[in-house]
Amino acid sequence: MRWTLRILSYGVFLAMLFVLVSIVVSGLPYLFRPGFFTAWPKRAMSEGGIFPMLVGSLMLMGLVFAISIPVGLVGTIFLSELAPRRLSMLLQSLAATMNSVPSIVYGVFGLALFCVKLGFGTSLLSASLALSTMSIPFFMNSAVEFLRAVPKELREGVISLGASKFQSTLMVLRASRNGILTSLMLTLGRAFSETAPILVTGAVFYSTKLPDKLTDPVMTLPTSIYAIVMNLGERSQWMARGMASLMVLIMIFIYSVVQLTRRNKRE
Amino acid sequence: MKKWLFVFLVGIMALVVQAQTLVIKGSNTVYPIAQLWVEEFQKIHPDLIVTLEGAGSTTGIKALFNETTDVANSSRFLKPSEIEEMQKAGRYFAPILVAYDAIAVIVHPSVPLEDISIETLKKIYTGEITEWNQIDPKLPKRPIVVYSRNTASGTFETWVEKVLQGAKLSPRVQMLESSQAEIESVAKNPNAIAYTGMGYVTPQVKALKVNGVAPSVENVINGRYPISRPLFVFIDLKRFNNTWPMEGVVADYIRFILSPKGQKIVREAGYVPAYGTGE
Repeated sequence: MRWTLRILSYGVFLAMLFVLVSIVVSGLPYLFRPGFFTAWPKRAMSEGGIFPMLVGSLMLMGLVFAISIPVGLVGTIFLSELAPRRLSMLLQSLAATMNSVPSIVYGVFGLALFCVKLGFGTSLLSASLALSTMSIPFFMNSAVEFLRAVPKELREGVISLGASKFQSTLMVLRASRNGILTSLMLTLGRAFSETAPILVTGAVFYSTKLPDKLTDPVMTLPTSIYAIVMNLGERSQWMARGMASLMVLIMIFIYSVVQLTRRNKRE
Repeated sequence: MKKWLFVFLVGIMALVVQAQTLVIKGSNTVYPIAQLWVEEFQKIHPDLIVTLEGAGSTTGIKALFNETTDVANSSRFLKPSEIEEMQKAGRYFAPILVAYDAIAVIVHPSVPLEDISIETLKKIYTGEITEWNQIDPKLPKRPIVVYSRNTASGTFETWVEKVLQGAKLSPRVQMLESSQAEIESVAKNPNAIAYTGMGYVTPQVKALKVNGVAPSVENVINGRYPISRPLFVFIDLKRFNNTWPMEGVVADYIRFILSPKGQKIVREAGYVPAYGTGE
């Protein structure tokens, strides 16, 4: 029995490893093509590089962070420090529910609200807002646990020393900063790899210019992989493989950082 | 709070500076041609911003209705329901024929077969016929090796529509990733049959007549060759006061894709140019 379990768990682990390694290896050689990171795609994505997709994804991430960090932090502080216990529980289960909503739903919601109703159109702005509606509950759900983990006695102690609520909150934030950083990185990973919400709200498959204002559409890594696989011939598939490999490498990097910050916390 | 929201919105509006743009949406089949067109067109209009999306013909035509696109690519003509909706709205979407997606049926040059019917092709691809002598008793009694393009290709879509006509593909059929792979497989194997975009046929293989019609560009254009479909680009004439646009970005783009240069690009993408390439 014990051996069967062990073999099964190794098997599962090996299968997961195989998936990751095969994605990375199949695209790895293309990352070293000259101009892969700096050139525009050419000849229907069969030549050139991924410059606009890379920059587009980075721009999108920057905007998502600019929106989700303040909103998410305020929400998390409210949940853990200010809200009455019952309300806090209710809100947290709401955030958890929002986490399990399929991402295309956020896309369609964003399409209806940001693109059509508010008139932002297919744009960087709509995409980052749609992605933020998805990533804020994700961030709150994970960060609130770290804030709650700060011992109650610490808060009471600080307050008994004459600190205001604001000062005690700051103290809690400082005490849980590694946890908050971890949540941020996880949110970054989630938002970075998400395809469906941006596919319908802000991404185009091909654009001749980088977005230079918020209302311009954008090319991103995950949506371009989708576009190439769905629409283009075998001469362009190498680019999708290269981008997939790059994305997996970036995700591995993000999760390594998460593991490192966690280890630091323990020490 | 309300004030800040207002300031935020005004700030966003201020960022909306009108630059010249061209938005193209629609068919996945037309997408590879469109991307090549856009790349070349960009060289003529370096300051123009062109964006391109491929999400299916229906999406493209819907975008025309919503006025969220300038040009809609489509691998089919308007549906009756779309025409009705269009007439109700008092609009007119002008179809521009840009190319044909024509498919050649290929076999090894040594196969003593010149002509095949759609019926027979359907039987081969549904698995009803499995040996060559079932097509013609003069042919050897050997199993047919059947190749198809993978399901994600536009070529496959046309094949399903024109040949299978709703019937199910036999599991015996081997899927190949590219037209190139099909040509090579057939060139090596005297028992193989496959289909490929007409633009890809090389002398290594023999393209069969279908229902007695030779797979030539002439026969595709005059409509006699059965396995082909026209590819369109639609524009909304209401945007141009119900007349044909004579100037502006859309007019330039249409002029470019129909020019010999634009039509040469159609051939590069593996399709049949609708107007010839001036050669």
